[in-house]
Amino acid sequence: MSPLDRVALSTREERAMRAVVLGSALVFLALVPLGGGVFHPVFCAVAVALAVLVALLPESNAALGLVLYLGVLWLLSMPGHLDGWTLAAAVDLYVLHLACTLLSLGPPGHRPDGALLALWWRRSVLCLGAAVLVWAAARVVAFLDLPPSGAAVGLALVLLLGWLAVLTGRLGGERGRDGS
Amino acid sequence: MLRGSQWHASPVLVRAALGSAALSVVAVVVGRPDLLVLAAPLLVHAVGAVVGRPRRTPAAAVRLGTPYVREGEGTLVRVSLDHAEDVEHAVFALVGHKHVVARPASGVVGATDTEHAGRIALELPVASLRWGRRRIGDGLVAGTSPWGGYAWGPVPVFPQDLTVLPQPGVFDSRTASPHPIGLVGQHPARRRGDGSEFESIRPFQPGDRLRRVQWRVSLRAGTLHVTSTVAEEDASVLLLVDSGVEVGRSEGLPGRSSTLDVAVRAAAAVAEHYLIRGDRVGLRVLGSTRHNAVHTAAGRRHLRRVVDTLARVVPGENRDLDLAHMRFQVPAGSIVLVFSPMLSRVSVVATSTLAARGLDVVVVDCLPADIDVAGDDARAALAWRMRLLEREALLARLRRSGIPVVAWRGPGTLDEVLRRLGRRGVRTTAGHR
Repeated sequence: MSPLDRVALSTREERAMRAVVLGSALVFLALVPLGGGVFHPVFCAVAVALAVLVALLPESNAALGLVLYLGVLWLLSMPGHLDGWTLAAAVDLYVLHLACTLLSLGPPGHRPDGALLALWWRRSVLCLGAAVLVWAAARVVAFLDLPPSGAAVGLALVLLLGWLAVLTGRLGGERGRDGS
Repeated sequence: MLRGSQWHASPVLVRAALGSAALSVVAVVVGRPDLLVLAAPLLVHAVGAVVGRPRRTPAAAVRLGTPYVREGEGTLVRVSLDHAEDVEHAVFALVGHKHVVARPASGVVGATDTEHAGRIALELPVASLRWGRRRIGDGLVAGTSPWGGYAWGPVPVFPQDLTVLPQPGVFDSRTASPHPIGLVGQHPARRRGDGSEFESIRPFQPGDRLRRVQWRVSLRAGTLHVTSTVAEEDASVLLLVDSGVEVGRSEGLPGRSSTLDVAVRAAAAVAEHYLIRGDRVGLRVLGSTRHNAVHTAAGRRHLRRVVDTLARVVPGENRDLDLAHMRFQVPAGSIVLVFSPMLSRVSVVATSTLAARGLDVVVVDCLPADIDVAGDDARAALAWRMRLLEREALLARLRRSGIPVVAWRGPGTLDEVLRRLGRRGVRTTAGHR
């Protein structure tokens, strides 16, 4: 089944979520100049093309590519301020991820039920709460203007590497079991 | 793409895990805490998905709510997932079949289990718009673990047998059978007996019941007279359904009907009418290789047998029918009702053969008036017109040889023709006397 056939078979809710995927990517691109960043027309055009692809194939790994691309774009374009635009970008990126997640739960024609939406609503509050917490903590640290600490960075890297090791074990193990 | 019946990491988990990890590492290395803010929601999602990693593999089974339905009636396709403690959301997608509709129309239904009870039931209402034997319920089942981190399936589930009984057309007949031959029934017979239909007033004979005495006539005549009635007997009807040829496109119950649709629904209606009145009905299907005969019997259980056999009719299953070896086994005095569009040689020969045996044969013409065979093809339209002319000539020949032909129009279709057959029978009997 071609991606366009899948769109044609989609329910109204699914089409709305595909529109959310596209819309959230566009909002993210708009947040870059609004937050004081540099607007790159070429990079933005690539991002839009990628967003269209993700809207057509939300259950594929193209969405991972879009998330990483937007992250790199943010890194290159933004000065790194911890203002409200950063929080808005985090919310927007999560909305994109959530729309792709809900679209990948079933084939075209699948209508998410109320219990599922309620469940994801609670989870979204948790995820966005974490973003707010990290944003607030980062602002506090920035406000205190602590001297750079090699130990803190090292500890953070160790934690991250540990998490990556866990993920590699989980994902690698699953793929090995699949034989792929 | 089928991924098998094992759990595997979903693109959602891959996206959340790798996206958050990449952003976090860059944030720490480059010293950009704003990237850490972007990564935080995805990180929470990834942690939730990994913590909720499934252990047990579910098992899917499908069954139907009921294996028998009438045309247009619905049943449920029930898909159950056992050992589904780790399944948070399950989805079933039904494979579409002709004349089968589902609600929702996409045939996709999902269910969320927030209590992790170990069993998830998915129910999809389906209905068949045309009679026949169908295999439905096949499709794909898939499940996802909490936080959508791991996916199971899609796993195919296999179809189940569904017998769709024809919805009998509306039919009623107020005319009695011309030759009732049974013991008890509702049709006035030619012989005298205990019935309710008045026959004559005649002198009293030993054995007559006192309640039959006609006192007024007895007083006038001076001798005892009694009211005599005719016996009431049941009739025997043989339904002959021509399944050798099906013309026209069947669109199911609400749409246009093919010739076989009309024949099957009309035969079911007539069978229901006579069997509910206590008559005996038999069935022969011309053109079926299996299940092509139901013996003549009475009762509501027999009605089920007749309708079930009609539901198994397959059009054009056996075109090379050898009528010389076909036994119709028609009881004496039966009326034979031939449901056919009279477009095949076999049905014409069978009708003529039965009429030649002295049976009362009635052809019920099952060619719908609004049939569209040719579409926009001018040559096909011309060929169809020629075929119709041939058919008209054939029907005229049947009429000339004394076989009545009536078009199926529901209630009252057979009234006039049965009345004429009854009169013909009385005349013949009077002539013999």
